[in-house]
Amino acid sequence: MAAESSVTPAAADPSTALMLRVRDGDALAFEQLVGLWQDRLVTLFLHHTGDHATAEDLAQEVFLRVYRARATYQPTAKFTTWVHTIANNVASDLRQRSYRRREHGVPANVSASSSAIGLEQLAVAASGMMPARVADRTELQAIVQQALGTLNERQRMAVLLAKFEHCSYEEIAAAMDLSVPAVKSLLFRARDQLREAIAPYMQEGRP
Amino acid sequence: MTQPKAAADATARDSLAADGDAPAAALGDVWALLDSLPSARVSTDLMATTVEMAAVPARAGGGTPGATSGGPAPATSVGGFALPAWLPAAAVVFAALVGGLVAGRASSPNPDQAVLQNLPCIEHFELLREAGSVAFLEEVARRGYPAPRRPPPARSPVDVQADAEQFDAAIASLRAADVAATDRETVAARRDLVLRMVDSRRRQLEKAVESYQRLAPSDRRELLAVGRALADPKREQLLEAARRWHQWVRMRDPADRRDVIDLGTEDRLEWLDRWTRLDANRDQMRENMRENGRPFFEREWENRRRTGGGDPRDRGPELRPGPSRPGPGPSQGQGQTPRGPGDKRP
Repeated sequence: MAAESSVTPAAADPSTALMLRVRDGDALAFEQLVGLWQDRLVTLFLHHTGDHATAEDLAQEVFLRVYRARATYQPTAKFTTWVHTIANNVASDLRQRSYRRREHGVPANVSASSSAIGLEQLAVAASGMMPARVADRTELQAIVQQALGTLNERQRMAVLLAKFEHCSYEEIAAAMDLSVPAVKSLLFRARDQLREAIAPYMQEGRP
Repeated sequence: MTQPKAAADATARDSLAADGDAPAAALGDVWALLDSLPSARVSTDLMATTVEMAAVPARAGGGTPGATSGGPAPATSVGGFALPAWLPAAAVVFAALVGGLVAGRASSPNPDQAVLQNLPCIEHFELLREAGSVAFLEEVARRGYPAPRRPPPARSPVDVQADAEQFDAAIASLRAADVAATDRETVAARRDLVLRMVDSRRRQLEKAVESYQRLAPSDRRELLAVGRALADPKREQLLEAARRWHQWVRMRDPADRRDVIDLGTEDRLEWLDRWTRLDANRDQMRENMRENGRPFFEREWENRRRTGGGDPRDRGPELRPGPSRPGPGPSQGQGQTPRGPGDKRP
């Protein structure tokens, strides 16, 4: 059966091939898979949540879900799409938990609060951080990260999948369980919102 | 870049991207700015802890080990012969495989032993998950929360009664099964029961088993402890607490119930405190609003009319108490439309 699977186009993907070995009980393959994906996932979640510890926790949760589902894994699609779907679900679960905690009057965690930066607050922060005409890279990072924080969760995930995982519209749509037009719309709105959020910096830093 | 130019560029890019270009086109100039975001530096032990976390449940569940690999294993010595260290482990795995095969053939199909041992609790997974933990139920019993004063919204008394009967039936079924029994005869009887189950009930059980297996080990223990507590006729106060909590949970919309059930003990208690308080205050407020059987605002309008102040309902919606009603009210049906922000009428 493994031989049959290995000839499918999806299995030509290195991650898919590793996952097939994980499914067959190869412990070393799981380590290799984690090694292959941990930087990417932690980066994705870092920019999604704005908090490094939370990002590592979420990446770990993705790997655990991958491992738990190994027995049922079928290489019908690229492993990349599968793992992005899991990553989106994990991020969504985090959002639900933060929402529940807020709903029930429990203080939200760092990651949830990091995304709740208002535009006005951001503008003040940005202008305060830009006394000189040219900002250095660290400041720019902070501003872009803050601007990302103004997006809603789905917009942010779509932007990050596009930028850091080089996903096409179709891949983002598959991972987020949306239609392609919906993804396009998400990205357009994200772009407009990011522009608006970064505008104070553009005006102050680069007249 | 000036704003008008940026807007023009944006429009151009929108139309380009709408034609099916890559997401980079949709994001326009923002795309390049995102390059400034750094890649994450992953902690050195992330891989080790991930692999270990994956390995633990796999070992506990008797599945494939999550991951153990590394350098050459040290040799061990038996009877003067040097043996590789992996040999005893391999022997154990081999013995387990043989044992599994034998057991599998003896009772095929063979539902998971652990599931069978805890079958009564797993069958009532939703009920027990809702009840939460023994500590929570004890605290609910100790605080003596009242029952909700009104039935759940949009549900008839018949539905409420049916729900209460369903709860009682589940408890009766839990008590009828010997929850704590795990001896061979009991397990064999439960296996037969599962094999004889009609499809719909078996599918329901499979869903419950899946949910149960997704729980962390500590949560599983808690669920079983709640099952034993509710099945114990000597702990009626816990059953009453579970019933009371059930009534409160049912007050929420179905979509919100899962969120409430997923709360931890402290948050649940906070939630109960808040809702019982609101429930009590609502009655008090309603009582305060009435005098001689009439709402206070009716008296207010009457007083104003008497003193020449007019009917407050004619002054705009902000003075009207309570939710606005569709359609004209008794003093609104004179051809006037509700006033909006652009209304210039005095």
